[in-house]
Amino acid sequence: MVSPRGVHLAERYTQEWVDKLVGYEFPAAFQPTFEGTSASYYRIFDSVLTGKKYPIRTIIAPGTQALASTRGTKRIIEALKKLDFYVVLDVTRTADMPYADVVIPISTMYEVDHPFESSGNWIMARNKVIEPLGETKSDYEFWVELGNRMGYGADWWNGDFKKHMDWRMEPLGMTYEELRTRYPKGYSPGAGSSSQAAASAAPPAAQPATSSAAPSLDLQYARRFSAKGTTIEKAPYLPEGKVALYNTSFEKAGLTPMPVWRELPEGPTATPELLKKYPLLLSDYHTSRAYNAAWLRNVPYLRELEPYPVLHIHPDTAKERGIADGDWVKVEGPHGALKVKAMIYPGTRPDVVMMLHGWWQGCQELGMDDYPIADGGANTNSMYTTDPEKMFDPVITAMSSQTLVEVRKA
Amino acid sequence: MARQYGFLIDSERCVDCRACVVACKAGHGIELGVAWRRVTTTWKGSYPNVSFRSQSMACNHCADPACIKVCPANAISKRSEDGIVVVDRTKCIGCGACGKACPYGAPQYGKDEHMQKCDLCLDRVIAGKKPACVDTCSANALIFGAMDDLPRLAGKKAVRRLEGSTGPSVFVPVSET
Repeated sequence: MVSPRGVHLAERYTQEWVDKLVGYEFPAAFQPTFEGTSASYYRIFDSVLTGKKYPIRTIIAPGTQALASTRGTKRIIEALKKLDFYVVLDVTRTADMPYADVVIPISTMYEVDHPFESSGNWIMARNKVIEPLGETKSDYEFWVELGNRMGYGADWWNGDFKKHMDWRMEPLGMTYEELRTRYPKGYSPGAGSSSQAAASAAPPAAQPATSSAAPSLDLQYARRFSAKGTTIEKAPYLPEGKVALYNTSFEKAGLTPMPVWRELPEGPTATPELLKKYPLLLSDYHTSRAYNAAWLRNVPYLRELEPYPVLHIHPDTAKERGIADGDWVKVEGPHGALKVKAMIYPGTRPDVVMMLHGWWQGCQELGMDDYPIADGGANTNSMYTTDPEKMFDPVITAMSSQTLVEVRKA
Repeated sequence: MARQYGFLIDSERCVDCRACVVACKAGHGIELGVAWRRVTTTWKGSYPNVSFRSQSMACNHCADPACIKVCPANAISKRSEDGIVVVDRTKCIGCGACGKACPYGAPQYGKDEHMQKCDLCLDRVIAGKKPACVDTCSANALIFGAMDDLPRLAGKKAVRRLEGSTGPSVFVPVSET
């Protein structure tokens, strides 16, 4: 399949550059990964505080809000205070903005004519739906202009965004403007020119994703398993050429070659001594019917569906504590305390309480204020351990989001 | 009456996403704090053998609407051509009698205190479209049609008329308890 060039510039990577990465998301032996060098969100902020492997003094943060989105909220507050220079780029107000030196409003995808709409083997030039509501540019334009103004013009198309898009289109043998004008309904590389004449190109749903003769790449196992890796030396991930239950690549990198059980940072069997004070296991989920993670609480029609941060609690567990549906409750654990509403929820295990992650934002139209980002607020991320030995999965750096708590009427 | 339009409300298919509530509010530009369509959730059993069902409901456009009988201003009427129950908000005096009389809580009151409720997306239905809630339901838990046609539109699922003294224009699955 022919695709436009990505924006990760993977072909320019050197081992020296990869070695400079702080806060590996995946272990050093597997860097860079498919999307280039990849650092763990929290670990970058941790590096600000520890100065390891070298001091981080500036962060430019597009489309993120670490205070609400990742674990270790209180340590992230300290890191944001310590940074010399913090730049936040986003389409909406975020939890991090009070700590930013510069906030750059960014156009939404509905307000710009780039980069692409794509699905399977189908690609179309993006068409803006409305003019930008404010004086904004896209994050793509931001990076190209910043790279140019920092004096790296040769690497950044001298700030010419059109040239950047044409460079991305080179593998398809046309310019970005040609994609827009010749294939207004989209282009499928290799599908033959007769089937996609400008006016009659089929929309993605009607387009066969692959030809019927060849199985999709995912089903061509021999090719898949011998594919080159993404590291500088391009070693394959599966050197035996087949699925590895005992993973020799992991073993070589000093990781466990087979999955092993690890205890939770705090839990009934991990820390039985805490159970008397904190008898309930708290965890969280990241998506609800109204919200994605830490976003969208400011949209009134959605906020009406789920107006308050709620704690799912089993009816028996609530009754023992004199808690009724809709009561404000305090949730206290070894690392923090929240104030949220109880929701009597028969689908929860009696010794478990659950919350939606990402609560901080108010809703102006409904007269609802922001909640505190840490203690006294509703952000579960402030409740979990920041012990580096306990908070990460050693391979993929997924972070633990379980702890023990007690719940009582506020 | 030429025909009676109504809903098939299939709580067995509802995934509790509440998109119907938002589509209704967005389609009619309903003020904050008011919802013409609402979803209620009922739990059955106890952990670990536990499940819940959600039911979406708005105005049921009843055969014999309780709201019309109690309105002192003759502001509510039932259209002869399609059985849709509509309110003339210029006649409404905001007494709230309809809200107390309706067994389903359909009449709603916003800042102006005059009654507002589901009009079965009258404008859309006249234009040959489905109501906004039905159009947006990704689980086919809400189906719109003439009451005579709804059992057929339900496909293989056996449905029954929702019982009630006012004759709600609603079908529900036979298996729903």
